[in-house]
Amino acid sequence: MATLADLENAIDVLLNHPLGAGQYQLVRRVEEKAYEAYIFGLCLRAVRELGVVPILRGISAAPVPFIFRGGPGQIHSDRRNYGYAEFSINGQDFEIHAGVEFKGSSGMTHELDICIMRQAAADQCREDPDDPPSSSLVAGWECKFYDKRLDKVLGRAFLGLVADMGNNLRISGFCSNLENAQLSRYFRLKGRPHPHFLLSPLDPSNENIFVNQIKGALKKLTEA
Amino acid sequence: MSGQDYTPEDALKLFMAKLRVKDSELAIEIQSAIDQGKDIQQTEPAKGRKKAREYRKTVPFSRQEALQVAINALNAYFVEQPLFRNSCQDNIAQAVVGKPRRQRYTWEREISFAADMESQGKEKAIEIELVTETQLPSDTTAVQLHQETWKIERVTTEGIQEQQRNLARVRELMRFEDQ
Repeated sequence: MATLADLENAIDVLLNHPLGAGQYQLVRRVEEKAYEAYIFGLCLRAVRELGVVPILRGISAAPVPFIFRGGPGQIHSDRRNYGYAEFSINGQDFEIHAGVEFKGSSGMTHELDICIMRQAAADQCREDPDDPPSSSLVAGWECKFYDKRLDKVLGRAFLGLVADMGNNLRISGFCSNLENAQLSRYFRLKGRPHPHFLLSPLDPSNENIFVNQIKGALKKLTEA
Repeated sequence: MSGQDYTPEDALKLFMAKLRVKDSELAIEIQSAIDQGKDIQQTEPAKGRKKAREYRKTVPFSRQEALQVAINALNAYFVEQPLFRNSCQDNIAQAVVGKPRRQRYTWEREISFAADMESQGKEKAIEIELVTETQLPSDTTAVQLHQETWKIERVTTEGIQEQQRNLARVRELMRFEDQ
């Protein structure tokens, strides 16, 4: 029979592990951004699986180190050497960004956690500093790392953002390491962002669905 | 109760007390996950001419459910976060490092396409910005951190597997047959 001392010992082992409470102290300030960095990596994987090697760039120098923004920012900002990736498929050039703000159809600006956009527009906005137009956006994802029940308001907010992003957006999705049955039903309605719940290395099949969706959309877009 | 000499309430009290001592912020985070409660379908029986109906109701977790919620939340920090870092490292390693692409002059276009093809497959230094571009230098966060970015470092698979086993052990000790 297990005793309270057994439980106490097991909890101590768990919390005192190098990946225990100390790990939490390290990650709590960047938990959301680390999840975005993971999704950014999955986008690179999708490009690679299409037979293209993505190139990492920095806004002002070689991306060493590769820096992810800590908050919403402008594509032309060079306060730090923010990183992004570029790739070409069938002569069409794209970029993958994290935390960049776009100008919506209404004129209001919106931050996309992770996005794929047309490179010509990105170049233009770096050359003549401006927020890229929503028409340059090909794909966009909201990324939410959560340790508890997902807040429904997040889903409604992202739907509003997508509605302001015009008609060139080929895929959009709401990614989270958790799931929420109500949000899942909300997103399953036609024309809404794809729900990518339980998207985590703990479930490779969900990673494959996400990656294959990007591959399919990029193939279709560049075949035309 | 059959396999333990303690109740779910004892287990939850001990668990939260240990968490509070180890890291009060983590304890607050876990407590808020527990306090969210859960949705259930409640049935209202038929009454006179009124038909029976179902409706959603948010209720607190039982002590045993609360223990499992707490473990799931810890799993997100202790297992998933390190896995995100490793996956990001793996995928970025397979890309190549290019030169900056800002094109002030036409002749720079040629140069901008240059990339170090030998960098493919090699581990890259990756950082997340802690002090964002809009924060003032006097901001308390920046002062507390003493660093402006946070390095995404790879975690050993063995370490992650150990924590998965440790979580499974605690989960098992917190699983009660009846309450």
